[in-house]
Amino acid sequence: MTGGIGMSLLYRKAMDALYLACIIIAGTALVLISAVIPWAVYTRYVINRAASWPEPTAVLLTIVLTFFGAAACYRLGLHMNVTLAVGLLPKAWRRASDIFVELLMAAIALFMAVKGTGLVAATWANTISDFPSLSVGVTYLPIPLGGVILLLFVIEHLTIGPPPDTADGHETAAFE
Amino acid sequence: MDILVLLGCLFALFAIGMPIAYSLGLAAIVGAMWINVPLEAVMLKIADGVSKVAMLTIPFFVLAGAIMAEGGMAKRLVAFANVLVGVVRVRGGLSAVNIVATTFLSGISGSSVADVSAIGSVMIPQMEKVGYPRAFATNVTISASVQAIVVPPSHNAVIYSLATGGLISITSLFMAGIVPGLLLGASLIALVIFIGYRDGHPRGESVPLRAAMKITFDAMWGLITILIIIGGILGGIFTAIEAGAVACLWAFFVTMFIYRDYRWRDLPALVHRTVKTVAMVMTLIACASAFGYVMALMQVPAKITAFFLTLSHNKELILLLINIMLLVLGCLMDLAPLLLICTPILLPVVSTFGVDPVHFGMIMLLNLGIGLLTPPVGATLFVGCAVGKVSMQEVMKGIWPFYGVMLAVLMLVTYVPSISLWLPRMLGM
Repeated sequence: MTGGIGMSLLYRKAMDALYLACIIIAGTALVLISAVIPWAVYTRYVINRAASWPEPTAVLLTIVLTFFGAAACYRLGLHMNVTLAVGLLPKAWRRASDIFVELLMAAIALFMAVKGTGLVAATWANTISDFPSLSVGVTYLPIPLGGVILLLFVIEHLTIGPPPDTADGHETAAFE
Repeated sequence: MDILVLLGCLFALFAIGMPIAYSLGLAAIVGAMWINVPLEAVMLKIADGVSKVAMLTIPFFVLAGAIMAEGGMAKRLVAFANVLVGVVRVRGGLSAVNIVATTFLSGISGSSVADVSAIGSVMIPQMEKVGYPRAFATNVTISASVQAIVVPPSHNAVIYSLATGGLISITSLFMAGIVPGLLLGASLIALVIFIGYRDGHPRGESVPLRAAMKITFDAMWGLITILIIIGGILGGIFTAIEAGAVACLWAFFVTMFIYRDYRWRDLPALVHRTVKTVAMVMTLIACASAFGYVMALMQVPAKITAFFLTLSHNKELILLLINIMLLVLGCLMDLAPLLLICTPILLPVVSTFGVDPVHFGMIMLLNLGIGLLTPPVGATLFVGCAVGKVSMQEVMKGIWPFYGVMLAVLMLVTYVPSISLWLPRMLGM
């Protein structure tokens, strides 16, 4: 029993660390995106020699931001969903529905991990024209990695429940 | 049968509360398996969905909006709007100040929810202090914030552009949104002045010249952001992406070095919040891209168009039906996913009737923007009630005149295309 609790605590701590890593990676990508595009403007208007690399770099960073950030959002239950129908269900049914959703999430996480790895492998030998030394496969790596992280967060939800700081959407910056 | 499998699966996933983004992804996988499309193609579409250059606009405008909305811009815009409205000293002056300040902030934040949080926290207590009912002040704030959905740099206009598959440029949509946004603002001002005279609301007060000049100067730093976005794009200096990036840097500079309202130690939290928002929206776009691909393979848009043609060949009636359908859907779902799901389905329908895609974008944005103020799923309504510290019941009691004005503007935008298309056409877009 104590061993089980100890394992749960250990897994929770590991997931906390993984969440933090996702946010740091995605946050760094956001800051870099915000820096490279103004640099493109600077090189075009001030140096008079437009740099071609900032735009593709920003696109690559966007992939990093999206897939690491998406997994982190899932852990905290921030993704938009329709709660209208589920809200009408009795508590036991709602719990069953939550478990079913987690299993479906595991399926899509596996899809991202497996098919994403396939995409990385298939494009590994190709290179990006703006960065001849960079493999296209590397740019797709955040997809399978994001899938694996998402799967780990789903396992956390299913076994020891969502983290205590799971919040509603107000913890995010406004979009709509 | 194909449509039934794809849409049935999607709605079943929505019903059990699965995140919308992943519901789209999973429905695309099921649909692809149903019509024997390799799953690698679905994976590739998800990856392609976030690899578009146009996507870069989203993080920039969300970040710039968050910096400006959270960094003390709102109170300066309110003071500036007070200077402008104070000149005429009408009854309901503070309501008009609220709307004008929101118009300015909309041109910076691009988000209705950000406007309500920022302007509402300044204006609602101020209005209550001079005798306005709190629920009325909340209604003014949330209704005015719908302007942010249509005027540049509307985040949702970027989503619409992406949902059209890049058929419509973000710049055209930004320009098309200016007149409908201002029309909505002006109509709401007319309404609050009417209510002001009917209910005896206090008159606005004029600001002494010296103070007015100081306030104007103070607000100008923030208002330059609007100039960077609209002027930069129109002048051909920046693309929409570059305008977003420069606006972001400018917002950071003004907030940290001129206004100094934001603490350096709060910045990581701001980046954290922005990352979560951007990642959520990007995931939605990525999965919607795969869903749209499977939908196109199943010829869903063509079949839906054929269905609408069986209903009527009258353009006006079809637009009315679409508006009613979107208003209902807007009550049940969030704006961004609806744009991503409905645009590829409905755009071919209205295009058959000769409706301009930019014009249709404005109809969708305004319509679904109204949906943000309707229960049970109205993000802006919820935030407004939280900021205004009023119950939803209290707000709902007095919201009907505001709904009326917004629907009237929606009808004008729907049936008078030049309201949306005049400016982009004049600019040769």
